[in-house]
Amino acid sequence: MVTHPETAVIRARLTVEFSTHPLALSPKTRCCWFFNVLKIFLHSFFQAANDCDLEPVAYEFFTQAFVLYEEEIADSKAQVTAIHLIIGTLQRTNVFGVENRDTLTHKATGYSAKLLKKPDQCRAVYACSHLFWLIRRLQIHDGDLAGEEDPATPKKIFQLLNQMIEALSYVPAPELALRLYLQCAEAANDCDLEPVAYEFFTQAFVLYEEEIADSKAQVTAIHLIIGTLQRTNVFGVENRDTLTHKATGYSAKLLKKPDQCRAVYACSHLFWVDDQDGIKDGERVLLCLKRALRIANAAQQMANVARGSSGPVTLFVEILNKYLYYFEKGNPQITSGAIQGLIELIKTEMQSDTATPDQISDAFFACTLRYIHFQKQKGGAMGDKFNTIKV
Amino acid sequence: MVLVLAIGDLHIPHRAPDLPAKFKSMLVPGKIQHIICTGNLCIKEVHDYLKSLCPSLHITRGEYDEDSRYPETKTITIGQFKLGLCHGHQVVPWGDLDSLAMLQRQLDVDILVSGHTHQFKAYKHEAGVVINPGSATGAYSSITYDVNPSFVLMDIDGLRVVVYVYELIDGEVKVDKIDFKKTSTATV
Repeated sequence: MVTHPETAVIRARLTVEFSTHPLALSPKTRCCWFFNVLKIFLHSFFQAANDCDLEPVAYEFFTQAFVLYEEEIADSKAQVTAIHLIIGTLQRTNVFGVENRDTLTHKATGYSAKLLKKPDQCRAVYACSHLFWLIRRLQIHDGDLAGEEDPATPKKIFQLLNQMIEALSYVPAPELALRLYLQCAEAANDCDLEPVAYEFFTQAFVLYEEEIADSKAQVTAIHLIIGTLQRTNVFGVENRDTLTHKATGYSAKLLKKPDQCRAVYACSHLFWVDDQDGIKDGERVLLCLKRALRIANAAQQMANVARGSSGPVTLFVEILNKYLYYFEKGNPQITSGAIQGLIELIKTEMQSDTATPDQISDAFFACTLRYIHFQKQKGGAMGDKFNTIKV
Repeated sequence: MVLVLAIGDLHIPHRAPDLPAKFKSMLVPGKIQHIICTGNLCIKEVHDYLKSLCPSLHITRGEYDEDSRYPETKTITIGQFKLGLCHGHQVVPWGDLDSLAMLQRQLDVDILVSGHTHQFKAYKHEAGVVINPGSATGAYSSITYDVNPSFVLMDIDGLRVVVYVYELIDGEVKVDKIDFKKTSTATV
């Protein structure tokens, strides 16, 4: 191992620092002093790693940083800053092989989970999880992971990640844990590990059902699930059906009708993926949109009964826009007749005696009609298609 | 001439410790009139830092933001332009420009700024512009491979807006610009 001159300088400097080790200081000053030494270690590590490409040296510096952290950084606020410094430094380097990186990440996670305050634990543990994504990306990039050659490694990473998620559940931090489950599912999708991806989605749904109680949090969570599921392509028909069925089911059971409507029409995208090999199930798309329409109708009726006047027609205009989206993409189940029908419905609702004037819905509808006109004027196939819509 | 900084998806401290040094040295207080932030800061310290750059700060909620009081969407009028702001995780499929155009119609704005994908985009269509400033820290995203740190500066002057995108590629800051003009009824 060639010792780079700069590394030699750093080592010399550190030896000097430690030989003048001040033992008789007050605890706070002592902590401060060691905190600065920790920063020097991390800086040295950074230089060793990035400038000199010396993995063993870098690993040694890092280990020393952890020893310092464990033995000398006692102040809880300093601990938080220190652990984030450690994680941040790890994030920015790529000199480590899988084993060393795993060990360091595991250590960092352990210390993160033991921070004093729960919000700090959350942030730090979650930050550690991101070290794994960097490993994954590097491995794919360097071609180290053919997927078949060493299937143990991604599975090992997922095991470690599962432990992290469990650490989060003790805080408790279910919303963060759900997001991490979804990220794991995405990573498993990238690794072509269908059962692992399915398991992560299942866990995400369990968390959603059992731990996410706040209605606003539920709306965000279901959209994250739908968005992630929309992007996964590893599932066979059966697994995909089960998961999309769950997603649509939970969407329709959100607390407020407008939220139900929006989540259900978002689910329509689960059945239409624009990629070359993506699923394009026009019928199920239409089923989702029709279901959303029924919910919007019910919401209107409820508003009628409750207030004696109809609610804003925004939901109908949103669904109309979705119809136009799929019409443009060429879904044969979406006809110009259906679109015209929706437009008529909206106009009727807006002009009815019981209508509540709403600037926002009006502007949205006007923009939508303008969009239809733009498409007509495009000419060619698109123009022809849109010209079948009589407005 | 009104300068508007569009920035977001920093993910501090979960996915990134800080803004790149070269960006920090460019973003100084007193030069920018408005900041619009797509969300995912994620902590108060970042909020305070942005506020120190410019008091007119508009933020929408990302799915990792610790402050749950940020709104889901926001509309702001700057000069002749109506701007809409939304993080973008609410719009499925993520990053789909047609679905974002629908949100733009819903908010009735000339310029829609949204994030989530961590990839810079400036998409012009008949009714306006959709801008994604990317991630200012280059934070990891499962949607975009190899994220370069980026942010956007808009120069709004009458009916014209010039969009400058600053990207950190291989340690160097690269700038690109795109022009948009608005007629009295629509953006061309």
